Amino acid sequence: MNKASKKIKISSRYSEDEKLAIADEILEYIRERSRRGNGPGDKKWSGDAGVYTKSYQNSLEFKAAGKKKGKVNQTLSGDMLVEMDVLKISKDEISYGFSTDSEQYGKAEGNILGTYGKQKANSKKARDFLYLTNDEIRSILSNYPLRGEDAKTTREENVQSRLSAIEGLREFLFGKKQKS
Amino acid sequence: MAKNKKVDLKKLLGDKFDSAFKKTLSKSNMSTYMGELAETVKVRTRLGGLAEKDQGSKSKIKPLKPSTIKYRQYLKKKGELSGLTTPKKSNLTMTGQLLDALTGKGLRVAIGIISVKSTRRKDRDLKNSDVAKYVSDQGRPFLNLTSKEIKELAQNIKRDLVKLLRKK
Repeated sequence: MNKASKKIKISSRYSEDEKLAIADEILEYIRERSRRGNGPGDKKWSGDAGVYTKSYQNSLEFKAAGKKKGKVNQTLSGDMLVEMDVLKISKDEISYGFSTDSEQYGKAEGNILGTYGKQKANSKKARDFLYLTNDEIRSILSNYPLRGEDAKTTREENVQSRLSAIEGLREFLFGKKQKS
Repeated sequence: MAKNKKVDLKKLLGDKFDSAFKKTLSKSNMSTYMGELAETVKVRTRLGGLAEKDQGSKSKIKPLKPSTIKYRQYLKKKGELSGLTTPKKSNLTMTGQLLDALTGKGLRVAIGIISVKSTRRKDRDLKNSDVAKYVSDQGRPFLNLTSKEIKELAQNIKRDLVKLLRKK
């Protein structure tokens, strides 16, 4: 596992499709949370991580991208969050984030370690935008319950909604079914 | 027992899927998606990037000619160069009017457009749409979409489609 990736444990009782749907939901959740300007726990970044440096705020890039001083959202061009992906799905684990050969790896790692192009990591400035709290993981997994009366139906409905949206869009955009 | 089972999710969801798909890609929603896409293209261009072809990777906009740089230095002295560029930065921004005129709208289900409005420019007797055509013809085709921009659009549509399918 590299520094710009995370692994979460899930039950081995989930089917392959269920794991795919959960992984996709994780990525979607992190993208939306980041774009809102929030980090782990869906909370605003605090301390040094919650503000942009003066030099960045005054940079041409910052102005050209129309960024706002008070919104720390891992978005300049938007490419980084788009490139975040599922890295591996195994029997009871989902890995997600950025592979080291991704062109966005450096940026993601810089955010997570707080290096931002420098050699030294700075935990105060670090924005570990991939991290999910236990509550967040529980909330995502609550859409795929393993226990309870309607657990199977709820799971199936949520998996079908998500996977059919992915497949349907692929078919619509590219005209044929493609392997993920 | 069969080794594989084909699961056609579209068949399973049937009409529910089709109606959600049409609703998600309605003319009005397409206007929202196209508006966001136009903003993305604006930012990417202001940052100095373009795609040589649709779904291509992002590359740098070709550098400015020395004569253009000189003219932009003159504009800067006069305080007429946009604050979103520098004399040497090649980002299709001089006064800012061209990219400010970029908009997106939905035309019908699943079809939308991003375009530069035909508004008249303040500095010259030209329309912004004419300038857009000119810069594209000169090797700066900024309206092409990068593969990541298309991916982002697809991710956003999928997010909304899932929300609708779950609601039903």
